[in-house]
Amino acid sequence: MNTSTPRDSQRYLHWVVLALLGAWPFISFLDHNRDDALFYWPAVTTYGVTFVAFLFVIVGFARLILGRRHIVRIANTVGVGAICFTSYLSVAGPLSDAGITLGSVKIAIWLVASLIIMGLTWRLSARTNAALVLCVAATAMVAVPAARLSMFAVDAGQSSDRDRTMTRSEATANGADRPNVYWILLDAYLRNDALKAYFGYDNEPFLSTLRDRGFFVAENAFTNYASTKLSISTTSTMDYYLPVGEPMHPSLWTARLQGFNPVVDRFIARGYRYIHAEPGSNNGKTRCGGRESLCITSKPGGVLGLDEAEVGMLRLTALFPIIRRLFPDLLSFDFTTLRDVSNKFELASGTPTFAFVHILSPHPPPRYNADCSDIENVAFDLVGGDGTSTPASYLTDLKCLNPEVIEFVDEILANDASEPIVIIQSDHGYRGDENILPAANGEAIDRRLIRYAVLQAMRLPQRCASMHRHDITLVNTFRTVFRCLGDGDVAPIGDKLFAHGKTTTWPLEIE
Amino acid sequence: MIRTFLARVVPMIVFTALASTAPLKTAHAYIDPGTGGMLLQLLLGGIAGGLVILKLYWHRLRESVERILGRSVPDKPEQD
Repeated sequence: MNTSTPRDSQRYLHWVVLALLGAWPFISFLDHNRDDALFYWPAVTTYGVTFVAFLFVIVGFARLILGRRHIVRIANTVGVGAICFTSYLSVAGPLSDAGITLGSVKIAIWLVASLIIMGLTWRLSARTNAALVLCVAATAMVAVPAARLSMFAVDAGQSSDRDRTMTRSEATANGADRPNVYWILLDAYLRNDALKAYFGYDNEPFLSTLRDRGFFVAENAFTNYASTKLSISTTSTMDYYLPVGEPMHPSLWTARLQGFNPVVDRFIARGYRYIHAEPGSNNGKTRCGGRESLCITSKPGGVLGLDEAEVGMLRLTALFPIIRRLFPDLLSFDFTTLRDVSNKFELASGTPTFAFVHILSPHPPPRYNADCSDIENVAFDLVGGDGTSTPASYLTDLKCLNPEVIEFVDEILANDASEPIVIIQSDHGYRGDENILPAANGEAIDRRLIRYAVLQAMRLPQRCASMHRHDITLVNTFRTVFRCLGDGDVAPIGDKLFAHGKTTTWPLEIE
Repeated sequence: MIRTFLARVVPMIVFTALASTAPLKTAHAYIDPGTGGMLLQLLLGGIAGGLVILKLYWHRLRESVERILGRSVPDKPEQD
């Protein structure tokens, strides 16, 4: 067997291997989540660089202890160990599918497999060309995601220029009529007929309470997209600006979700201040972006509040289940509640306010126990695929959210003398429709109804009552508001629904 | 012989690379760890590393096979 001392031509190859293998999980993660990359790339890159630096420090220490002679073996083993470290979910997933549900067994299997692989790497790295082989393998692993991210970065520059132009051109200055305007978005809140059909629940008492407070509840409202980012960005643009049938770049919606959109432009042009209540530190899509005068966010529930990307990265490793089991209060996935908003909300005398309040409920994960007390340790899964989110838990959250909404509305109406405009709506319908049962009448599930039929309740001044429509789609929400405020250039536009894939949309006809 | 071998394996690598570029889910709205894509990239890395090993040790491998088959092999310096 040869010594592990590197040949001159390959003297630094093991360092390249270490850097590539250490960076690969983060490059792959960012590439897989390109849709959200503009929100999270600084954090993911920082974690990646820190992780690679940490690996170099480990190798440096090991070299001091074991001697320079073993440097290639050390570097290769640590690099492969880094891959094993971030491959826990890749091992645990198939094990779960195979029926192994006990977390400790999955961790044990992963640990044994990792130790075997690292032992083999140590042994095989004694061969002269081990670093070369690993370098080629690591380059092949990194090449595809890195190339796609490079193309993404080039596209980002081109798309963002167009986006800024569109946003600016739609702003106008106008208006003396300046009531405060509250846009309260309850994520994934279904329309009542869909609740009745698929959950057997009649939400009429809640809707009646809203009507009693001057709201018009649209009985046939649809979102234009069954997606948070596409829906909110369209509503806040008041137009169908997203391309149809062509690849979309996230720069088309990233800034708009954070307050850089025509609706906020128009309010600011009218002399409004902008309050942005983000859904929580977990969710970056509609986080405060700097446009707002006041940013309202959730109250931290644990020692370390994680965001969506941090949860995603941590879930790749065994640290996630281990920490959650040993220290259940250490990590938290925090969500803004209407109580948080109420506690931090400030109206400014003399300056009208436009407030965007995004509450990520009744969207998974569940937030309420059956008695409507808060769940202490909220699940870390927005998709609801971890088994914690069911149709029953969705309904529980919706029922428990209702009184909080009424309380918040009452607070607004009691304290706001500006005859405020209040919009309570959802961005899309129910997402876990594969888990629900067919309608009570036995008909097949109408996915258009369950994904696109949304809560839409609007309280406009009495003089604008004629502008309400039962069959509104969300793109016309602020066209209605601004028409009510006296703007003449915002007539309603035709209602369209769109289906969407990861990067494209296509028309979905309203039946 | 190496050329024949590469002619068979390279298309397989290209296919794997292309497969790993395809979206695994059509409509995905949330951050996802992306283990499927990672496994494909690991597979691609494994194939690439395996090819390098084959190239480095091809002569030795061929020698062993031909020895088993009872054929003589012209001498060639070992690479490792």
